[in-house]
Amino acid sequence: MIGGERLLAIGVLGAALAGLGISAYLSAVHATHAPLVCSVRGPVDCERVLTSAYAQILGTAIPTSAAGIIWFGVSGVLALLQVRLSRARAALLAGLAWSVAGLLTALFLVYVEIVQLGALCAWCSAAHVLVLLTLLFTLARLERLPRAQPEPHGMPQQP
Amino acid sequence: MAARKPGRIAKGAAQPRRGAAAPGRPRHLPILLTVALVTMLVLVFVAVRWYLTPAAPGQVRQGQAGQVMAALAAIPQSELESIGRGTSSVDLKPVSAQPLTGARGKPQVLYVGAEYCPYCAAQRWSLAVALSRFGTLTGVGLTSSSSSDAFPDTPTLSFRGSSYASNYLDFVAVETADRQGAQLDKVSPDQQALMQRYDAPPYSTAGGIPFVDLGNRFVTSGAAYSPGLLQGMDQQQVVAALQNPSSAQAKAILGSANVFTAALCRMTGQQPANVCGTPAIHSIQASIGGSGG
Repeated sequence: MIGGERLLAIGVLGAALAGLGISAYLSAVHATHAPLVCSVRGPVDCERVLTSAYAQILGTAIPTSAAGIIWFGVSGVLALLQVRLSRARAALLAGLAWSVAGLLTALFLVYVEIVQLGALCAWCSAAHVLVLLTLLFTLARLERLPRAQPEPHGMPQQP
Repeated sequence: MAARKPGRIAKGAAQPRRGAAAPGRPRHLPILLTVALVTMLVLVFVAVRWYLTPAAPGQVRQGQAGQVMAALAAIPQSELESIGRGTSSVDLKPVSAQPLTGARGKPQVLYVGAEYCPYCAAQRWSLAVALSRFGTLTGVGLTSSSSSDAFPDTPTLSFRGSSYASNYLDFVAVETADRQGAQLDKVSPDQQALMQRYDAPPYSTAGGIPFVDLGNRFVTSGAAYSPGLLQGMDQQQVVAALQNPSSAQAKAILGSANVFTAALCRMTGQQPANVCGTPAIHSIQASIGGSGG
């Protein structure tokens, strides 16, 4: 793995670690009812977002941030696989699919924040940016992969 | 000469550079497209929100009930918490009967009222705020009570034609007449039976509308506060008043919404926890009687 590719994989890993930290913090706040470090007035209002019906998964008591822990955790594992296994195309493609799924979910949550709730949660937005960065890093790595060359015609095959 | 491995290019031959774009394709096209798409979607979200945002007080635009509902759904929990029961006089009567469930099998809230009725006009505000804490109420209209009844032209919402999406509750609204008294929805025989039983003594002193049955766990008849509090206002001004927790309207409407919320939490088994688990809701639940949940 050359330096640029490794740097991109490390970028994905870094995003995963940062995202894990944010998600864990939000989950801890949810579980302990501790005060959240965030603005509660104006367009950035974490409280409004995190106390809305959307802050929990489909009617359960599980906070949405718990899904963030899982997503960033898997993303980190995939990034590690990409770093450890040179040119691990399968891991990279899995990372791409995972990132696209993550971005679609993040876009839905952004829609909820902006349109439904009229408020942004700074911590959530940071996590959403990390999801976007993960996808961009993954796309950049895919661009750097050498394309599969076609089989040369008329060449005798090595027995 | 040894044969080369298939697919490998001989050393020294022209080879595409890593990260180079395919011929005819701009470099980093997928990345640029992704960033553009995300940016465009966020801008669309902001534009939609801008369209839905309530106008400033005094700039009422009719037909924008969606904006009013969005504002009601966005009232901060901290404000609701600080108001507690407020000045609400909502009189919830606990009942013990077969639980009322809706079409989706969830505990059902039944509201029966009429658009001409000023007490219904008052009650809808609190009910809309409470229901918005458990789901999304859409399709409501803006109207005002009769110009020739008590508390004329009380600004309000109309639940006629509304729909409610919630993981916890079903909501059925019956608006029996418009503000001129012309008939709208009909009360079904089952609803009529509930009203005959619970919209009468000992559950209600006078009966009549508005009548609200909270899953056959609680019933209430009449307004939770005086419609006179809303006199001379329009919907946007009511919404603006609700942003100020020390306003009389906020104390009455949001206080009543908290009482409804406490009862609704009994119906949902205290779910969602972030709505039902607050000290204000617990405190109100201790005072409204009933059981379970």
